[in-house]
Amino acid sequence: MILPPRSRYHFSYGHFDTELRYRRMNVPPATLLLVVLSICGAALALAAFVWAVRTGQLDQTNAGGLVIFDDEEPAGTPSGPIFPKRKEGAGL
Amino acid sequence: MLFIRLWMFFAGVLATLFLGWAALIGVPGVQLASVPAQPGLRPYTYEEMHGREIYMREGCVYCHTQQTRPQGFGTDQKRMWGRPSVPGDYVYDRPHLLGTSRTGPDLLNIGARQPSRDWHLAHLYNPRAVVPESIMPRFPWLFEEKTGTGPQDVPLAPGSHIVATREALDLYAYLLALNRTYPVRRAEP
Amino acid sequence: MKAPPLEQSPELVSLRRVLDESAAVPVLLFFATGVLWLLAGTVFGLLTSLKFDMPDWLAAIPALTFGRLRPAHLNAVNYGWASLAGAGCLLWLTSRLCMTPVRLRGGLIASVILWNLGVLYGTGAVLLGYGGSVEWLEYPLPAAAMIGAAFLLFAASILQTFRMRSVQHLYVSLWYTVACVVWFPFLYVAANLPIYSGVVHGAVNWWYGHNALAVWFTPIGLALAYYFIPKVIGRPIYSYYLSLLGFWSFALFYNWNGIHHLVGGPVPNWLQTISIIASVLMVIPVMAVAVNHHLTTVGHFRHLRSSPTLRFTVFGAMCYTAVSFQGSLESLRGMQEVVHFTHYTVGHAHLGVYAFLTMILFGAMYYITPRVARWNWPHPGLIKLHFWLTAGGISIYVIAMCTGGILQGYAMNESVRPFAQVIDLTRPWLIARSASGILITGGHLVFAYLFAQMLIHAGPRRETAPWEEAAA
Repeated sequence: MILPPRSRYHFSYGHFDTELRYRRMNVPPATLLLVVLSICGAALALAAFVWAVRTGQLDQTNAGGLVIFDDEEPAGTPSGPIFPKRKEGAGL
Repeated sequence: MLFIRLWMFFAGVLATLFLGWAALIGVPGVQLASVPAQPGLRPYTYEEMHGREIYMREGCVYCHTQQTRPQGFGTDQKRMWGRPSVPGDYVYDRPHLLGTSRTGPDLLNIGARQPSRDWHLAHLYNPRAVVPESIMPRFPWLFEEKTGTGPQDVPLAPGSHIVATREALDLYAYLLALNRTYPVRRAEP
Repeated sequence: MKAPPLEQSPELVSLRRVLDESAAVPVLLFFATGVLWLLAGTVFGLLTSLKFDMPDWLAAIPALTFGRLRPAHLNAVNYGWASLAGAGCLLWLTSRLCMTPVRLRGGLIASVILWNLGVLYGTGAVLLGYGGSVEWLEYPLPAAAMIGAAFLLFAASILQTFRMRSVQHLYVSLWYTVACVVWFPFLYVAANLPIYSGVVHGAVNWWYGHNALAVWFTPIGLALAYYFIPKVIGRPIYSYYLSLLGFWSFALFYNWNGIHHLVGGPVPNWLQTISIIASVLMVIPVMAVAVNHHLTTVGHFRHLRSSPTLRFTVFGAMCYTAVSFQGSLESLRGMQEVVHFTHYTVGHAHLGVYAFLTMILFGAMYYITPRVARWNWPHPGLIKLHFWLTAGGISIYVIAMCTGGILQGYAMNESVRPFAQVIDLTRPWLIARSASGILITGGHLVFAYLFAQMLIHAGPRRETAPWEEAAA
């Protein structure tokens, strides 16, 4: 048995309930500020999205995925070191 | 192609991190900057500060928390580990030692729960001598062996040649100072 | 706008060689020192784990006490191994994606030296008892300053290379790369300022601790996965559009997550709540990344047999999905009530930094090293052994820690159960963890042996690699 509770150890529940209620229910001003800020942020994001769609920013985005391929390493062929086979006739 | 202007990309990248910083550090920083110490809390003494440094040096924080959760969130209350801690309990803590792991029990109120010096010294010297199931490390370097003990020496047991060093005694002083059992006088965020 | 095709000239063939040669010295330095820290960090980690099982073993040596080994392990593997190896990978990747040689190479050499000195100083300080006891920020200020300066040199090189790019389109991996080198210095400096105390310090601590993953380690892993999965398979990623959504939602939500490490603690409740909300919102970027990675791989699993890079990277990408969903769930209050303060968190952390990031780093190094060292991996059998030891080891690790952690959490929440019983309950799971640690250590020794052979061009010469054929 580790660290048995001792009789001299006690604490007050007196202010505990108040404190808990405060934590759970009261809305601090910081939260209100954040709510307002996040609504503004969301509105901004929505506006940016509408702008992007209207002006064709998102057209053909998928072409971007092809830029890592070219004639030397074309799409459709795997690249990279395979588990390499031993070179024929090359010593150990 | 979205990045018509590269500066937009960089602005977005900086803005996202800055927003998170402002919300998680800036706002609570302002909100908590005005939180005074709880009236029952006193600053650490010189010995306790030194003991706190030993606590940090040996990495006690990696197995012991110093935060107690409210009723309905875990059983800290039923285990009598102390009322839920509030920011005002920590104003003298620099650095904070809240901890994230309870391989051992919470220590926020260890000074009230176990004030015995003999128990703590024996436990630091060899935890398994006191709590057989313990997996806590031993800290023999906080003690020294003396052939003759003087009146100022604190032996592990009466007649023992193994005496506590200043480090062990200060660490004990710090553990004894870990006592936030005073009632919360002020509601806090 | 359509991505412009690169110039189709014979010079292109040699361009890749020029790029690789420009990257060779700094990248190999980053890799080699990273592997040394991997070995050191693994030893620290294994010792830490064994200390749980045998607390009286090596108990008289202050430097090897649990409370110093654990932070030494965390810092050595994060700032030593993962950061150095990740930086090396990003250098090579940036050069490839910008199609321009690595710039500021002198600064990079200085960066490697400074970085290693910082990690050496910091880890030594932790072992000697000068650790700061603030998780993820244990290093003393001078060590942190050295690492910060080294990072700035590295970031300067990445940004200069990026500025001199000869391509028009910025591939998704580049977004993550450029963003993380901008993010991390700000984060590292802000968190290391010695001005915080009390509960605010706790918030700063976990804002940093989680963001080290959010703005540095995860972008490395994702940048590499976004490049290597499609590259090795030879097929563009499933939806480039989704990657765009994934990046911005990632940037927006991830750095709000940190305070979920303090749920139930003395920090304001609203702060905990927004971190939990952000953690749940992480489902959006994670879904985007998961769809992209897994639907690119689907139907091409045969390449897992032939490519070590793909094998490690796909394993890492799968673990990214797993660890992210686990993280979102874990942040919820109901879950936190049980698993907070338990070994579950440790299992989760290893699923992230090891099973996701480190496995992807291994995969990337299997691709990059032959190109910069101009020598092919000499022992394919050992590569497979490396994979199975590490993949098996980390799987056992995560399962053991998470199961043990949940049991530990439920036991702790039974107030009638003495604490000593909780410790007894976790014992078998901790022993399983030590066993997995031995497997992982074995894997790392195999990898270090292979890597050393690459550096000195030892071992049997392997079949001509594709890039050599192209150069001929």
